[in-house]
Parts: sequence; structure tokens; C-alpha cells
Amino acid sequence: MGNGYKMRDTLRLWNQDVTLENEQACWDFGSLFLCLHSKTNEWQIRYEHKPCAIEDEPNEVKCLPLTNKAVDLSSMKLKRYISNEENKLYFAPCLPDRSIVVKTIDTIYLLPGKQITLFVSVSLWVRLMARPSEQMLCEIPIRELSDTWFGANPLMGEMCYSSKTRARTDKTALITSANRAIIPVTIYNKNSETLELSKFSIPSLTLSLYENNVGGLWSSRVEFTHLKDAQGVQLSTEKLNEDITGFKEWQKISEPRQPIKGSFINKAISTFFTVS
Amino acid sequence: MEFMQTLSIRQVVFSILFLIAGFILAKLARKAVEIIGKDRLSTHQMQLFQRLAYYLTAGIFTFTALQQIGVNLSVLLGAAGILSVAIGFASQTSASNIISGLFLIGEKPFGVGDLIQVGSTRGEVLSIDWWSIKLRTMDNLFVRIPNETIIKSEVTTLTKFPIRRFDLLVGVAYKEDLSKVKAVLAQVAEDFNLCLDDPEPLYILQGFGESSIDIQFSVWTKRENFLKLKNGMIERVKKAFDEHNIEIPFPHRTLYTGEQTLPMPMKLVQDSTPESGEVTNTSASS
Repeated sequence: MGNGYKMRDTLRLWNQDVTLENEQACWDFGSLFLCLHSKTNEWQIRYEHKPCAIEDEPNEVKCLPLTNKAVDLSSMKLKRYISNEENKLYFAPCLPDRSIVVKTIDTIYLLPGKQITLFVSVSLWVRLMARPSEQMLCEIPIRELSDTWFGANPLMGEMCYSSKTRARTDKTALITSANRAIIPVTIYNKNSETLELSKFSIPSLTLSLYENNVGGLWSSRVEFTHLKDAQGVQLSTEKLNEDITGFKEWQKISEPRQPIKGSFINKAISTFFTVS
Repeated sequence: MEFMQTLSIRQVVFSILFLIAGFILAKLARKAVEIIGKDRLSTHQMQLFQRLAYYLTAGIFTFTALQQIGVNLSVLLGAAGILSVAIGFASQTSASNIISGLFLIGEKPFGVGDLIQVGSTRGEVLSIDWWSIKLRTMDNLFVRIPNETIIKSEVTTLTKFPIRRFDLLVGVAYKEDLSKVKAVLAQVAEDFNLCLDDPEPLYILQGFGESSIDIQFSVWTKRENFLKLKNGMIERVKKAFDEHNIEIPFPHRTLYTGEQTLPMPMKLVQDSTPESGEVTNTSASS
């Protein structure tokens, strides 16, 4: 294996060059097992998802030695990419390709005039990019999230991924993981009615990803404002700041898939929240 | 035909040129509709407007070509009017199909590319035309169904909505703990990532069957994943029941002779030869 990938710092997996000369390397993300095999003018990408409870998920990514006999390539899905470039690629992290419906383990009620910032941890996707062309080979989810439907009824709504959250409000309790990103969600309730937060949709396609100086990944901040005298919600995405995150230095490592046009958008409350 | 005698070569050439130009322009008009309507029209609307543009352009040029060679169009149109009445009587079915086609276009119960079921035929809609709709069945057969049949029949559009429900019907033995069965089914749905979390799976006890307690377990999935989900659910439920020793019973038959607790009396006839004549009485439980 080439020198591009540094084994000693497994949290800094992202955006580091991986150089393989007719070699093979495998990475264990916990719920995803990924192997790269470099051949002449070809990349072979093998992967498989395995059951892994969230509480057992490792915070670091293990790079397995080539001689590891536990690696069974035959059962893995295979994708072959023909390329006549250098045998160099890198892993870029990205957020899921659909909105994420977050269910809080305990229901939170936000009283009128109050605000809350919740820290939601979501599983990332691995995007494999070739160097130097910067062409994308493929995207693989680290954890296969369940599909879910978010809408008023089976006719109106959108297909999303489902994720459960403890909806932490204390940033010091957050754990830095190479597999996950933290999405800070600030909700303002300017309405006269109490807002129930048992299930809400995070538009992850509109979010950028940032990396802090200890290798933690955070997305841009989501702000929901439940508007006064209306059943509407204003959505905006904001940059990260030290007050919210506790970190000063941030480096943007991934652009949003579908950025919001303008500084905010107004939608019906049922677009993002479950209204009982 | 008097006018034929006075025709000049120039008129004939012009007429032919008009016809050729007409058909070239008709093709261009069809292409133009395709470009203009690319992001604005559905596949069905696109087909309709393309045909309209083609036949309108070709028709105008054909009439102009006929005028060039001196054909009196008013006579032709008059004759066409009389002819259409005669044809109308003779082709009621075709007219009915055309009118049914117009209703279909207005009502839009399905579009090109949708998967529909008409009677026992299930297939993808290839086109919706004036007289009929064309389907491609799952085993790649071409089926033409008259529009009138579509209007008169029950048509199911399988791809109308983005999500679908799969109803799994399963029976468990009478001895089983139903709360455990419910929990096992719920866990199967939760572990299967193609099952939607929301709408939540539905658990219904259908009643006491002949050999089992019948359960309906309904799960939702993305339309495209329906078949994968169906296969996956049956496989996973069978595996989960095996792991938890939950019995899916075969049909049972209990022979009951009317006495509540007594075993059923049985008579064993040893041989059919008249000499033996030996008969043994025994009994067996039912």
C-alpha cells in the first residue's frame, strides 16, 4: 500500500489519498466492510453491509492487513471501474441522498416563545473519488438506513431515511466518530401553540459538511422557525459557529447536494414536523 | 376528369414538391415539439402533440398540393362529409373507441410508462392511441386493448402512488403465544430496511382458522421495491419463526364421532376371503 493513507490516525480517513499498486486493502467501518483492489487500468470495489447495533458501532475505521484470512471477498458486492489514471483515489464523506426523518426516543415539547438546539448524529456515506480527475466512482452508505415515508398520508409526502436520535442538547456529551456527522438543529417556536418534537425531517440534501481540528464531522446548522400566527415553518441553513459547536476552526469538506435557493424557504409545518 | 387534361408538368412538379416539403416539415414539426416540450410535457402528452403537429402540417401541405393540380376541395370535403356519415354507421366500434380514447386522455387514470392491470392482463403502458392502448406484459408480450374495453373495465394502476402495502397472510399454531408472535413479526419488519418505518406495519388477527390462528401482517415499501420486499418478508418471517420455534401448522383434520371424550371405535377386517371370517374389534384415539 502506498504512503498516502495514514494508518495511525483513523479518524482522519477522509480526503486522504489512497495509493495502491496492484494491491488490495480493506476497511472496516463497523456496519460496512469495504475492499479496494487496484489492477492495471482498473479499480475493483467490493463491499458488504453487516448487522451492527448503533451502540456497538466503532468510532474509528479499521484498515485490515492484506493477509487477513477473515476477509471473504466472494460474498461481497463487486463494482469494477475502468480508469487509465494513476492508482490513486480518496474517500470523501457525504450526507445521505434523501432527507432524514429523525424520531426522538423521548418526545420533546417546545413551549411557545422558546428555542432549542438538538444535536442529531447521522450515519455518513462514503464517496469514492479518483485522483487527479476528481471523478466520482460510487457512493456507498456506511449504514443501510431504513426507508420511511414522511407526509400527511400515503398520497402526499416524500421518501426519506429513518433514524432514531437521543436528541442531545449537551454538546460536551457528543462523541467524535469517523462514521458519523453531527447535525445541529435549532428550532424556534414563535407560534402560540406548543410544538411537539417526536418526529421531524432534516433536509440533509441542503447541508454542507465541515471538519474540525480533531477530525469531527459536522454539517451546517439547520434552523427551523415555527412562524407566528401561521401553520408554516421557515427553514434556513447556517454556518457553524463556536457558540453552537465549541470548536473554532472548521474546514468545509463537502458541498450540499441541493443547496437552498436564497437565504431561507417557507414551507407548511407538515413538511418537516408531524402535526398531531 | 376534365381538369386532368389541362394539367401542366409545372403544376404536377409543384404539387409533388409541396408533398415532399410537407412531409419533411411535418417531421421537423414533430422534432420541434419534442425539443420544446422536453421538460414541460408528460410522455403521453408529448406523443399526442407530436402526432398532432405531424398530421396537421402534412395535411395542410397535402391540401395545398391538391389545390395546385386543380382539385376542387369543397367538392372533396362535401364528399368526405357524406362519406363520414356512411362510415360512421359502419364503424360504430371505432367511433366508440375514439370517444373512449378522448375520455381516457381527459381523465388520465394512467400514463405512458405506468404499470396497469386490466382483467387478467398486467403490463407497462407503451402508448395511448385514438383506438387502443398498447401494453408490454411482464413476459414481454405485446397486448393491444381497445379504449372502449378500458372505459368499461376495472383498471388498476399499480404505479400511481409512490408507496405500496404488502399484506402477508400467515397462520400460527393454536398453542403459540400471540404477543410473542407479534413481537417477532415487528422485529422482522424493523430489521428489514426495505420496510418503511412509517406508515407503521399493521398487525391484524384475522380469526380462528381451520388449523391455525390467521394473521395479516401488512408492511409498506417503496413502489419499486415491492417484489424484493415480498420475497424478503416471506423468507425472513419463515426464518424468524423457525428461530423462535413458532409453528406454522399444516392443515389438520380431526375426525370426531360425536362422543366427547371417548376414543373413536374402529373395526379391523382382516381378510376378504369368505373362509376366514375372522373379525377383530379394536379402538383408536382420534
